[in-house]
Amino acid sequence: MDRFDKELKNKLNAELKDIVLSEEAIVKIKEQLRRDKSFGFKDASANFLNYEIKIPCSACIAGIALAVLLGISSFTVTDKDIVSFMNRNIIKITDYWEEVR
Amino acid sequence: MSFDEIIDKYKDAIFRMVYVHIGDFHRSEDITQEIFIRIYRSLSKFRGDSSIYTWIYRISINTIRTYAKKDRTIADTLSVDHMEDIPDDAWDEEKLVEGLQNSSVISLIQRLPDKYKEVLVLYYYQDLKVEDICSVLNEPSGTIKSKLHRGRNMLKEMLLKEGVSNG
Repeated sequence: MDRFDKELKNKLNAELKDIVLSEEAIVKIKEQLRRDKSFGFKDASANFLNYEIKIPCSACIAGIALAVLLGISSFTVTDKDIVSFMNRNIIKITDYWEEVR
Repeated sequence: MSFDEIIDKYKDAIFRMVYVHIGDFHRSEDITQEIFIRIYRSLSKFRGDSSIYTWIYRISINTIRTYAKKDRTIADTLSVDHMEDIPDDAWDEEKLVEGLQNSSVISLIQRLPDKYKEVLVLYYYQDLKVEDICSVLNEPSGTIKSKLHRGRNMLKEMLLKEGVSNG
């Protein structure tokens, strides 16, 4: 470092010495961090995946609605289901009587 | 080191770095808060490949870059286009030192383009070596040295134009 470098370093440090973060700002930072520390699913999964998850709320609602719809439709009994059920059982009963005879 | 200790150790260094880039005291406080939250959230990803301070400064610089363009109250006033590449020994050192004493170095640095401002603050204020600045900015040492040289020359040019005439 030459003389100019040393003088520049000293002058910059002297000027910046008076610029300090206020106590209120420090309290705000610590409060924010305290809130951040509260454990949540998003944080846990973000830590697990090592990736910050950012899914919009509307996408979550749409996803849940779709899952519910698919779930319900898979349990709905249609006419076709009843016919195939009856046919299967009639065949079984017929086989049974034939064996008895 | 607990996170409270990290805050206590780096709060002013980070805040001053933000202030030099942004220029507004209150906005700089908000950005400093954002930096600490980002550091806290990324702490689990820190693997110790670099030293903790270069990692902290890297997060700080990246956050400053995000906000600098929209929040800055000072516009870059200098461009490198008009700069001549003056060799180090061609400057009048006495006049430069006199200029430094008569000027506000912070305001002069604030008028430099961001890429020079970052390097000068890390080198002259944070006292980082060129290799550490390479790690913070993820750039080769040749680029850092060139930015340091150009930034310093721009500062010298401003000092000769303004510092001496103010005195």
